[in-house]
Amino acid sequence: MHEIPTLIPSLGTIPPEIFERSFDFSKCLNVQEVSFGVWVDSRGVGLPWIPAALSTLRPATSPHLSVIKLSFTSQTGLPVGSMIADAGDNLRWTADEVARIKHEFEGAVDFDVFGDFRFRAVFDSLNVRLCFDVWKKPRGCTH
Amino acid sequence: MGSKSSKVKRPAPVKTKALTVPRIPQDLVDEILDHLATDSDQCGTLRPNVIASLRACALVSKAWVQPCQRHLFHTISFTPYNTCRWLETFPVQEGSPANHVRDLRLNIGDFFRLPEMFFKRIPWFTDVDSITLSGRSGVPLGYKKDPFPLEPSSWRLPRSATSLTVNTGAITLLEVRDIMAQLPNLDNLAFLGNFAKMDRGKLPGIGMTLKGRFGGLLMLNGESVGEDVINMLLEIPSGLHFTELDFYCTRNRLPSSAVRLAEACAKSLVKLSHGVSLLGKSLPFRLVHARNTDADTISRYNPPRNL
Repeated sequence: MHEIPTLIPSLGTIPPEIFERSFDFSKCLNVQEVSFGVWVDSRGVGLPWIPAALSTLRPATSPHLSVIKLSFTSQTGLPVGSMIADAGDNLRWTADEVARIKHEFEGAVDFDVFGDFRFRAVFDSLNVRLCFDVWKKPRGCTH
Repeated sequence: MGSKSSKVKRPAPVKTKALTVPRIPQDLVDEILDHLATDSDQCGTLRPNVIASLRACALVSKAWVQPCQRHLFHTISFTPYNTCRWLETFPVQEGSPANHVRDLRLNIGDFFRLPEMFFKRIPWFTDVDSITLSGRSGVPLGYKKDPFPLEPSSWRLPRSATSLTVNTGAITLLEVRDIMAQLPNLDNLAFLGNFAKMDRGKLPGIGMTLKGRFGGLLMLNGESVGEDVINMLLEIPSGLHFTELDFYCTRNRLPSSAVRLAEACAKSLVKLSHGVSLLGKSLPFRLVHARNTDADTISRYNPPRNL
């Protein structure tokens, strides 16, 4: 059975069907690597199953987990404000799960997060710290 | 008199240093040629300059022929246009390099089909690891494809193959099942295209006859992450033991069939990917790519400390 979080502050109660339509890693004792491509469109639909899947990753049931890869892509030209408005809750939930996994696995899980500079801006505005591997550097970026 | 003539001194033979050619041990030759053949692109295809070098090396001596052929014929793509030349060049099995082919790629989706003679010689490919079926999926209006000279169930594909990639809409799922049924050692499967339409009433139960280990990578793209494919796989009597599942659906779509498949492989599953596949790439490419890190292509920087 899924361990359904009763309340995600930004989302309220999560409907159980979101978990039913997502991967349940609590049954995958040998899982080592999980990769998800996160697509954000102007409607922000279809996203919740990704944090729902991440929420089933626990040290007790996934003891061999070592890598999580997330690659964020979005509709071309979608501005940051629009992304926050449409997908902000799910992006925050995703980031919350990342933070939880980092904490619960005590650093044993490496995160590879890919996305362009807009996603960094989104996560910055949500006060979420994620270490990004960037695909495309913004103009003037000297890193 | 006769003794006089016998006394005639013959000129002493000129002492010359015997020309000694150093003999290079065969394992060293193999090592050098193996090293030469490592220069390939991401799909594992040898670069033109390497092919030219290996061709030249194959003329050095008989001892160099086999190792050169092993690399030159490792990966072969057969199309309706180049297959006749192969058939004419290698008419008998003894002289054919077919036993060196490890990665066999067949273009079955063109307007023209591979000749029947080729399918009769497929058993010559005795040590193939990977089979890729590719080709166009659509035919422009006004054209009609030739039928397969032999039904896919009669192709007698090499039983040694452990990987099958289907990247064409030229065959139906039922025909894919017939092809898979010839490969009892299948570990890796990749369905990268949409299958030709067929009567869905024929689909239930088609997985019951399949045998294979199915313990490697399963890669499904697009519409192949659909109920028909998943049902066929879930019907396999020996069960699924894939260690790696790789789904690519448009946007964030997650079909319930993908969830069912992950549940079926829960005990063996080591790696799961969704939506980050290399769309349209062949399984060999995917396997090669999986071994490489992205570190050299992606620049990493750390977030500022004030965050």
